[in-house]
Amino acid sequence: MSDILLLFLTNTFIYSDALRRVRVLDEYLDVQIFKGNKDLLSRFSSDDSMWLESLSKDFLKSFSKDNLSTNIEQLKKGLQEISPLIIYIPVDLPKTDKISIAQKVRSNYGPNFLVDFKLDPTLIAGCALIWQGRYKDISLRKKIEDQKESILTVLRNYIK
Amino acid sequence: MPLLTLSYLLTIIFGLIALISTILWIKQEHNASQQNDRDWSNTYLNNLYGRSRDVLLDAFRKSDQILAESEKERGEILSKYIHSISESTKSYQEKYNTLFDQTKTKLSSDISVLTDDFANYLNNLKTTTNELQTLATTSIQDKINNLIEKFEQDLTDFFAKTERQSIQSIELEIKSARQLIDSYKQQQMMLIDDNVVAILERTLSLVLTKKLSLRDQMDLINEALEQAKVEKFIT
Repeated sequence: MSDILLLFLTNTFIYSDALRRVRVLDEYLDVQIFKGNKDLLSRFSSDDSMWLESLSKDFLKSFSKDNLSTNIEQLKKGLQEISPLIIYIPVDLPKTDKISIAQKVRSNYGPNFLVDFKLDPTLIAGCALIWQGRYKDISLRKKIEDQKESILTVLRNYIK
Repeated sequence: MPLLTLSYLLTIIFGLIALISTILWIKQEHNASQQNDRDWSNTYLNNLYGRSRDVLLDAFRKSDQILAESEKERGEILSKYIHSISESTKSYQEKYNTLFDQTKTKLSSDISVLTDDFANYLNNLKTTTNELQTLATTSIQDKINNLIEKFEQDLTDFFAKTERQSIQSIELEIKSARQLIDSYKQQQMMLIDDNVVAILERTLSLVLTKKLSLRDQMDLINEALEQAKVEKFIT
């Protein structure tokens, strides 16, 4: 994992954000380096603007006219090599909550760990995970299915 | 040699001449004889004609005589024949009459005898018939009684058998119906069991989405991630 990727992923925890931010960074640096326009943050979303402002100057200085496209390609390639943890959640959480979850996961599994969130309302509560092609259901729905017989026994007793 | 042939030829010629002259002479003689014969036959025929005419006349006369005689004889024979026929007819008539009388008396006596016999026969037949009738009536009555009894018995047996079979078939039907009901009940219970869980899941998904706060959702998600960490799902 290259340093530039590590620096890029410092404040990026979500995979879809990472892909978007590569494009944002490319656009930002392209205009800044080749056109010399420094007032660019207004053209991006607040979230992306805040992220660009959070980038360290050393990181931004590592990009120049000569290596801009190479570094961007390196970043893209590095991101493609990363296999994110896909988390299925039953409700759409706010961004901050998603980031806090992703931060917690990164704290457990390493600095380059990325997650991605997908919506599945049938899970009821809890979540389901997909990691490297394997699926694990840790939702309330799975618990109900696992306890189906005992639930039915309770219902039958109730009916009697 | 030419002399021999010349003499031979001359001989032949003379022979032929002689032959021809002989033939001519014979012909002439023949014609003459024919003429003579013709003349002789004409005279002979004339004589013959006269004689035959005489003979014919004679014959006619004699035949007339014979005819007259035969007519006479015929009349005599006829009268004799008629007389004999009438005599024989009379005798036959008398014989026939006597025979008829005899036959008549014999026939009437035979008829009376036969009539008596026939009357006796009919009486016997009548008595025999009556006896047979009574016998037949009693035997038929007995047979009918036996038949009715046998029919009643068979009918009773048949009804009993039918009743048993009907009861058996009904019991089998009831049994199969009960089995069907039980299997249907089991299937429906299984369906209900499947649906109850699905209903429960759906109800919970509708209710908990509204009832659970985001904080609770977050806690549950964190709890699930902790469980995955414990189970070492992510390596």
